[in-house]
Amino acid sequence: MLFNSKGREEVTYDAIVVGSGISGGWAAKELTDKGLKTLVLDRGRNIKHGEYPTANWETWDAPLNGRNDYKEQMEHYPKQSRTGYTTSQYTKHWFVKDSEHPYNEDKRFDWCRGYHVGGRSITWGRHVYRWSEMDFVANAKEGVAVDWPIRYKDIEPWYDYVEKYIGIQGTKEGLAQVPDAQFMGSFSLNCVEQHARERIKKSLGWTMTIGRTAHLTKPHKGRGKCQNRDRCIRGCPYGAYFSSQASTLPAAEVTGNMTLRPFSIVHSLIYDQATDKAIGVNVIDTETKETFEYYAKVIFLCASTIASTSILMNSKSERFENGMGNDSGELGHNLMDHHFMTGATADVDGYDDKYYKGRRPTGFYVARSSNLDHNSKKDYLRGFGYQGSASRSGWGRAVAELKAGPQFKDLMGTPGKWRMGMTAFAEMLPDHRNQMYLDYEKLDKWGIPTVTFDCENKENEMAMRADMANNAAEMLDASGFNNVQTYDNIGGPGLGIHEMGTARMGRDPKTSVLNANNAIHAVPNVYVTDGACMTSSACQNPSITYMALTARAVNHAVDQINNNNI
Amino acid sequence: MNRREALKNTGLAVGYSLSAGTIAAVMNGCKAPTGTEWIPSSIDEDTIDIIAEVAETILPTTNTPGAKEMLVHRYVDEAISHAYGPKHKAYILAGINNITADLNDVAEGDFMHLTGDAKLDAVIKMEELADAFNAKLDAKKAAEKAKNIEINGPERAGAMVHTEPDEFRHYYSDLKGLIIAGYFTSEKIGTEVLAYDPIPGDYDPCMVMSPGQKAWTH
Repeated sequence: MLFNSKGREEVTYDAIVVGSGISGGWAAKELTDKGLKTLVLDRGRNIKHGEYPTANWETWDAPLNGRNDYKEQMEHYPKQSRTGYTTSQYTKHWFVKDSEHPYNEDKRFDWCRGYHVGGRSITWGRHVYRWSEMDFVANAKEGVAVDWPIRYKDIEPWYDYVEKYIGIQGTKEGLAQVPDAQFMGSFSLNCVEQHARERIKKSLGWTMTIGRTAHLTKPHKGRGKCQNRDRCIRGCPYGAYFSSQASTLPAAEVTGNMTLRPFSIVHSLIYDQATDKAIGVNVIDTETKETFEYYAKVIFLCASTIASTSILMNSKSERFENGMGNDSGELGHNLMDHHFMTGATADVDGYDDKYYKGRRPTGFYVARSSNLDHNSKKDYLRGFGYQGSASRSGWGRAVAELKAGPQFKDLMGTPGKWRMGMTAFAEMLPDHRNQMYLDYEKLDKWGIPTVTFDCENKENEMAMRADMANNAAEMLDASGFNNVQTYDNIGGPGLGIHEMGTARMGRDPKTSVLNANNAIHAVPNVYVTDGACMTSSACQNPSITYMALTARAVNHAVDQINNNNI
Repeated sequence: MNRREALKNTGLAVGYSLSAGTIAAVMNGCKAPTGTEWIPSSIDEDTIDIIAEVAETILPTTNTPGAKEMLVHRYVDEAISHAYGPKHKAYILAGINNITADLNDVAEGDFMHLTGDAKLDAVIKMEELADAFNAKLDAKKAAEKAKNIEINGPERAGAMVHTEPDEFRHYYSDLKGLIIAGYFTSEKIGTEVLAYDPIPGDYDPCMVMSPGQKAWTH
């Protein structure tokens, strides 16, 4: 290494951020805001805000009127298509081709990836629920895995900070299990949902509220308000929901401190034994396969849960024979997702004269009701929330008494009966046995080892699924709806696209990878602030927590740099 | 004119919404190509006319266009060609290419030459046959699933490799589903028959329906 050469200066930055999705975009914005010259690396192509090719498509604009091409799905997206929605004609360009980016499964794991600048911040579900004190204390209280090294009060100001910046909507409910947030406004429940909310509260004491999401209900920081098109997953031309493209990356760019390098796979981190620090990254250009080294004082790994951990595993040195930061042996372990795909549906009689205008890009949320206190104690740990909606059925509906002809045609063009459905999103406990590891025999086309998954829903997850279906049925029943039917179509872990764990935070370097500030215990200038850091999974959608942890970690890192600690 | 080009940048002007009327004006004259020379890719050439006739019987011309005018049979052929796995495709095509005989059976005559409501009666009978077939299959599958759970407990994960099932629902049910989808996802029906509001702006959670209210285009 040529430490004093001009060449090295040209490839040296104050900070390097690996990944540009929800966490990476936030790291880039915060670091550049604080004056650090920051290199942002992403393995995929660049996407600028507004470059959303299908955003204005109507059904008739799409190939096959939106139907998936079977042969293409099986050839290129056999795993990505397991969700049923990620690889549609409208969205497949936001997901990788399995044919180009293979991975291995000892057990089924649905790993849905988007390799482009902005990552899955373009396609995320946009729901934002704060974690609560009960989520941060649960592991310690129940003796599960290891204790979180932080509590709600540590993250609370950072939730405030990121929520105010991105703009979120929702309604205050004063619930301990899902604390209120900095809401800029709120969408409304429709009349059938409002009816259900009141009945459920009265009969069961549970809270149905509007699904809290990162949508703008008024213009904010140069972004437009939501137009209720509900085409979010294709990319929003108005920038009305939070994405790296619409929010954090433009903010980082205007500081003049960001260098964005797409087509850059980080192969590994470079470790310097003399200083006990990582001094840079090894990069492969995906197009030319040339290799580069870049250097910085601090490195933020925000490549997504599995990718960040893979990079650490692949960063081997004399000091770290089993991967950087893996003194505990926990790197790659305690992989989690949320398990879901169970709930209930019902027909609604009445409200025949009521409809809605606009395609609201959220539904309702029912806050967790299990294991909150002594009275709600169950024979399983933790709990689940629900997401769902009520709507009037359309032309796809079946009508028993009418099958064809002029009246049938007219009827299909009018709103049908109201229906309501909901699905539970449940906590998955951290378990050392649930893991991912690298296969050094099967390399990808850049010579990087592929990922293998060995992860499944265990006893506690399976034990709560009956309640997940039954409580949904109970709510629909309490609302006075008919033909209540439960369902349970479990997929594989990963299907929730909420991968968490594998480089968990903790108090003890012997049992965890990261400290209370998201830095590696033994390598204090490497921070991991995506889902890999999570010590437990709670049942809330995790992205807002990644944002808050990232902003908090950057604040810590910059303090450390200013105090010459790293 | 390319509508996508025209609309590409609308959203970049933030904070207000274009009215549906403006969008409709931008879109006038932008139709999908509908050549006069067309041969089906999958369905037998001498069966495609009867598919068009079945579609028109289900969704006939009234004061709004019928399925034939919307070329729904072409959509059906295209969807069958591309959207199904090989086993399912073969199964549906075998059924469809025999639909003349099936319809003649239920109609007790030559379907194509039936008059009055007789064609409508025939497709209703076809659907009743299909419904009965599906009910049996659904019951059988439900029993198998219940038995499987009884023996092995609830599934911890779905199948890792996609495999097509060995048995499918009645071909007519898929055919009818395709006919309806092809019709209601077409541009003319989406913009002129259903309630078209591509950029709604605000959300009204509890709108009072007006007489003759159409369903929103999705």
